[in-house]
Amino acid sequence: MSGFELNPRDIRPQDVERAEEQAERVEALLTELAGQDELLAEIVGTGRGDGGHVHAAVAADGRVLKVAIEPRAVREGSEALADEIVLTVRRAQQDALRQVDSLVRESLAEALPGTPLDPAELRERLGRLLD
Amino acid sequence: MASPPDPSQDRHYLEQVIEQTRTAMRGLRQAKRLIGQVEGTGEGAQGMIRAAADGRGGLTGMRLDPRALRLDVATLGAEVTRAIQAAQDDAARRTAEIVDEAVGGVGALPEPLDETFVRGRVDAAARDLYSAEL
Repeated sequence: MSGFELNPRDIRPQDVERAEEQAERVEALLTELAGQDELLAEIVGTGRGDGGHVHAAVAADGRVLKVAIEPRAVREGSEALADEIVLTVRRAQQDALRQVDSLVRESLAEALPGTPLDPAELRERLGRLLD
Repeated sequence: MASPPDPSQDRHYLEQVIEQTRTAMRGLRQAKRLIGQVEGTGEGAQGMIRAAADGRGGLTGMRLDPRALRLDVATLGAEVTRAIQAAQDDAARRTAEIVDEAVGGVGALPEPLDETFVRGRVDAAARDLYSAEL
């Protein structure tokens, strides 16, 4: 894909039609997405520490739902446990993000077939807008 | 600010719009920078557990007092959870304040000119041409 650059001279009537069709599908997608809040709310990202004795669950927005610690995780001392918790929560957040991206990717593919849009790339592009 | 009724004011209007847009962009960049610096903190088990989170909800730090490890693991897990949630909530609150302020600044932008403005200018140009011909 060439990005968002477009020369007005190159626009043909069929392009306008295609854009209108896309706009309708995006409209439908937005209606559908409003209903997908529930799907997003159901997403739970999970992660495990390297030792496998710390577990974390987070929501779609990365908010921690639960951290569970097994007795064996405590043996390595407080600093090691703190590091293990940070690692575990990050893994759970990455898992949640992956699930959100895949949900968004499915919806985008349905609304705009033939236009491969990668949610991670979109996010990066939006982030760069203010650089 | 309404669109200029008089074509001679167009340049002045455009300059104002550009200046307002620059100010809004400056505000948004500043907000992005500030959000990058946000740190929320939270604690559990009477301060024996401390957590820090960034403006995007990421867990950036965790400190456990060795005494916290004497808690039974179910309580330890619950207190760790509480500390992280408090840090994330704190970070979210600080981020929302920055966003609210930035969005307030953007709200001052003028409405974009629409096709009625263009049509008005074309009509005016046509009228000028017509009266010049006469």
